[in-house]
Amino acid sequence: MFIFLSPLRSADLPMLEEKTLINKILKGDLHSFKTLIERYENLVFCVIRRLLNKTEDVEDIAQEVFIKVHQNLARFNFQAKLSTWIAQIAYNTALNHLKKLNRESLTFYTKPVKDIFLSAEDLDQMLVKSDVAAYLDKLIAQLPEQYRIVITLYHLKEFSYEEIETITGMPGGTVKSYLFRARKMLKEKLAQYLKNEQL
Amino acid sequence: MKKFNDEEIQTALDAGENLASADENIALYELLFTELGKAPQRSLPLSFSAVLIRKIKLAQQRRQDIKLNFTVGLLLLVGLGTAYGSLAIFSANTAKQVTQMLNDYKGICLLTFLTLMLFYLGDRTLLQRPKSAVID
Repeated sequence: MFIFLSPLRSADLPMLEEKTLINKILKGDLHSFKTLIERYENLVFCVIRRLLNKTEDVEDIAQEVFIKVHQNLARFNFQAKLSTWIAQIAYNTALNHLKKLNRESLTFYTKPVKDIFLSAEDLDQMLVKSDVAAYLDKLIAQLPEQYRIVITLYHLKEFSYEEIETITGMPGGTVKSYLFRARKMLKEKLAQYLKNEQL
Repeated sequence: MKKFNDEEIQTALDAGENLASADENIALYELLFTELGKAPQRSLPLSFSAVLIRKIKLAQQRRQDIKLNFTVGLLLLVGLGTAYGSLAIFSANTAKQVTQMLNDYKGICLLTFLTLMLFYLGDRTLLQRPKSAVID
C-alpha cells in the first residue's frame, strides 16, 4: 500500500543534532533510529525508485538500505552530510539490485548515452492533459538511469554537484553534462506537450 | 532583447537568477524546474519505519539467542571435559569404563547429537519469518 505524500524538501538535520542522534543509535536506541528512518525514507525511496523505475521491489530494497545504515553507522565519519552518505548507500544498493536483474555489469557513467527516444504520444493517452507533473514523471522514467538519478538528486533532494559526485561516483563534469542534457530533453518534450494541449 | 541559449538559461535558473524576458524557452525551463522540484506522488508505507524496527529487533534477538546457545554449548563441553579429566586423575578405572561405554554407544551418541542439531536448524529455517515483513 502506497500513500500520497506531502511535499518535502531536504530533511537534513543540523550537524549537532545529527551527532546526538547517531550517538544515541550507536548506544542501541532503536527509537532514535526510527526517527532517522522517518527523516530519510523519502530520500531513499526517491533514489531507489528513480533507478529501478518500478515500485515492486522498492520497499524491500529500502529496508536493505536502512539495515546497512544501521550496521555501518559507526563508520560514518561526518566528513559528508548524513543525507549524502545515506543516498550513497541507497544508490549502490539499487545499482547492485539492477545488476542482479540485468545479469550484466552496468558501467553506468562510462556507458555512452545514445539514441534516447522519449515517446510522448502514448503518454498523452494515459495522462490527464493538465497534469504536467505526472507527465514529466513518465518522461523521466524513459530517460537513461544516470540521467534519472542526477535529475532526482539535484532537483528533488537539492544535492550539490559535489555531493552527487560523491553519491554516484560520476565525475563532476559528467554530472553537469547529464543534468544539462536531461533538462534540455525534458524541456523539448514539455514544449511539444504544451503545444498539443493548446490545439 | 537578448536571446538566451539553453545553457545560459539553465545556469541562471540554477543560480536562482530572474531572467526578465518574454522568451518562451525561459518560461518552459521555469515550469520544468518548478515541476522537477515537486515531491513524487508516492512513497513508502506509513508503517515502514515500525516494520523495519521490528525486523531489526528480531535480528538482534536472534543474534543474542545464537550467542546464548553457543555459550551454553561451550560451558557444557567444558563441564564434560572437566568431569572426564577429574575422573581420569582420581579414578583411572572409572574413566576407562566411561571411555569404553562411549566407544560402544558412539553410534547412538552421534545420532542423538545430529538429531538435536537437525531440530535446531529446522526450527531456525522453517519457522523463519518471510523476507519482507511488510504490513499493508
